[in-house]
Amino acid sequence: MNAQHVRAIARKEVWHLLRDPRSLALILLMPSLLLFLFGYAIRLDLYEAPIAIIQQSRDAATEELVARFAASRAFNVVLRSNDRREAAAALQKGQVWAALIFPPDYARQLEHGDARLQLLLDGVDANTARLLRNYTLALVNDYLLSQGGSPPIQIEDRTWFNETKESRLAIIPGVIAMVMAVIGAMMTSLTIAREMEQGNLVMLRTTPLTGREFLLGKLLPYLMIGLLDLAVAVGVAVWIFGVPLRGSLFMLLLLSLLFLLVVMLQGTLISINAGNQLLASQMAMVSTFLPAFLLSGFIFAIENMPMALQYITLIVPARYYVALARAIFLKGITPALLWTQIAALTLIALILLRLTLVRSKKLGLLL
Amino acid sequence: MKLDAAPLILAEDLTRRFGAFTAVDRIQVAVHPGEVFGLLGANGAGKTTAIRMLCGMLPPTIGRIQVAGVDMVRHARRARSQIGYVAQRFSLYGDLTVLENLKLQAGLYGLSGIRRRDRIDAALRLLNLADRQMVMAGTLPLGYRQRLGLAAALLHEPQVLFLDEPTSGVDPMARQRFWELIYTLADRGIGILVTTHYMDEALFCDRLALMQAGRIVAEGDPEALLRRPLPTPILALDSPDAAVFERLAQDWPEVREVIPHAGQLRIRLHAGIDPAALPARIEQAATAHGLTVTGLHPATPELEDVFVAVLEENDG
Repeated sequence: MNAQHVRAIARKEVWHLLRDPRSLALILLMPSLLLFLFGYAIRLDLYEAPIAIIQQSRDAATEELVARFAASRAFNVVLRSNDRREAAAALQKGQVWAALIFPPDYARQLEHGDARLQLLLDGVDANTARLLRNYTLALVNDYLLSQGGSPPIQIEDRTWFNETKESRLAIIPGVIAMVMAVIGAMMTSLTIAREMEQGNLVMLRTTPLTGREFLLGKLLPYLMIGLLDLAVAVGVAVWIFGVPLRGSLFMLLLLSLLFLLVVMLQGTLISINAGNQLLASQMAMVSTFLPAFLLSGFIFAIENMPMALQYITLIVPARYYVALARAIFLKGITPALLWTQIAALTLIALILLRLTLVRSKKLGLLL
Repeated sequence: MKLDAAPLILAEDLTRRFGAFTAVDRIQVAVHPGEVFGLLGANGAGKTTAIRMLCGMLPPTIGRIQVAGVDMVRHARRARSQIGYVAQRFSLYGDLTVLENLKLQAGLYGLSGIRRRDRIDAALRLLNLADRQMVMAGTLPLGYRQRLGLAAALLHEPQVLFLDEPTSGVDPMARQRFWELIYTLADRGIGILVTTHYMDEALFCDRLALMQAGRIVAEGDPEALLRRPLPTPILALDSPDAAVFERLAQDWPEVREVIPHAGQLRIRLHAGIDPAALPARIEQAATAHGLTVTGLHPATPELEDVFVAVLEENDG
């Protein structure tokens, strides 16, 4: 490994970047853009959900629980009535997403410890329906507990590490993983594919440059940009979205470097197989963005996926990084506790490196 | 040219197979210091595969390659630091300036500090690119790009230079200047291997090898090649009625090919035909159609004639 060769390639790469301000701007703005997009657009929380409350008696016990719903920020009681047909009509029209129905003898039931509330849910959006159900159960339980009575329904509703129950806190570390994956793979796959298209690699192969030197020189500037992106993303996450950074920033940087290396090697492997920029960018998109988005556990919990899909996620590098980033951000635990995730990422990095070197040698691209 | 010195490029039994196809078949190449060695052949004859192996881009299936005394297969990195290579297609970076491209090359060849600056200055001067050093390489005219390619290949003062079709697409004036440069470099003792398909350019080489189907089928200095007796005699006919003769001659049984060339008609006969049979035919045709003949003599063979003859011999 000759440092001067690596430096020559790295410097050339910086010149390319400076020559292309549009790409550079995109690379630097993309993290913030995606963070704002996902941070604000994807809400897995309930906020001011319109509901109807049907009470057939106006006793104190009922009024007290109704007042709790009215006071909750999750719900917006838009309809109060004693006629359940009104609630049904409102549900049908979509004016309310749920209707909570108190029985006429609610107060007496409560005294016997056998209160039964009926909850009608608009199931068109299954996810929202589930949220409404969970929020309702939680609110009712809270109320019953505060009354010192034994709850009529047993519900375990404690959310760790996300006390405010804001899904945003869990999503943002995931968005950071996605940004890193996309930027890393796209940048490298495009530039190497371009060098193949333009015949630059042929020229490089007549010089004493080795494949490893080329790879290192090529990836270094992008690793730096990746870290810059990370810094921007962490800044936005912490200062704008209020995500707590409870763990060590240094560990986050270190593990991000590892993850960046993985996605960049992925990009490299893609580009040497694709051979042209268009195909390379499409393959990079499909093989990094989509898995990072769908299979990393960033929005959809891996535990809830069908078994077959769960096994597939094992080869999605973003899965490990999302887990690590969340752990560092929210739990603040030392990554040593997550050594399996770190080991998995390292293993993937080594396999990709090997594949890249073997494949490029076979294709006669780099020696 | 110092023929007594050890060859700078030496290839023995160089062979490359791609599956069942043999692209290069046991060729021998020796290029000495100061020599301009030309590799000729049609597309697919194996020139490119051969030059790629000699530059260390493609490992040979069989055979030995030495460049400046270094084994190209076993010590590729050290051998590559001794060579300069100019690709047929511009393969530097179009979005970098002339100077940046040269700096990159300098870095790849391990030049630094004052030596780097001196070498870049010298290359810019030699190739007359000094006033263009801040221009994006991709916006340069073709001839300039070719010179930039050569400048980049010369930065580290290689002992050996490989030029793959260096003048294709370049205008005649620029070609002329390019060849003058090649001579200048050869005079400094560099061994130069050039592939080309321009016959007039081939004449500029000190030695030529003609490739066909992966083999070298003829080799020698251009004069020696031109002195080879042609199996298919050629006569040159001077006549103001060349066009009519061209049409008539097509039908004569002795004639293999009629080529109008520089105001003359070159009439190539089948192998084994006695050229003495032709004047009678021509006279007969002249009388019958009222045509004028101002001269008829055996044609001075040109390189192309020699090669066509060699290729036909091998095909037969």
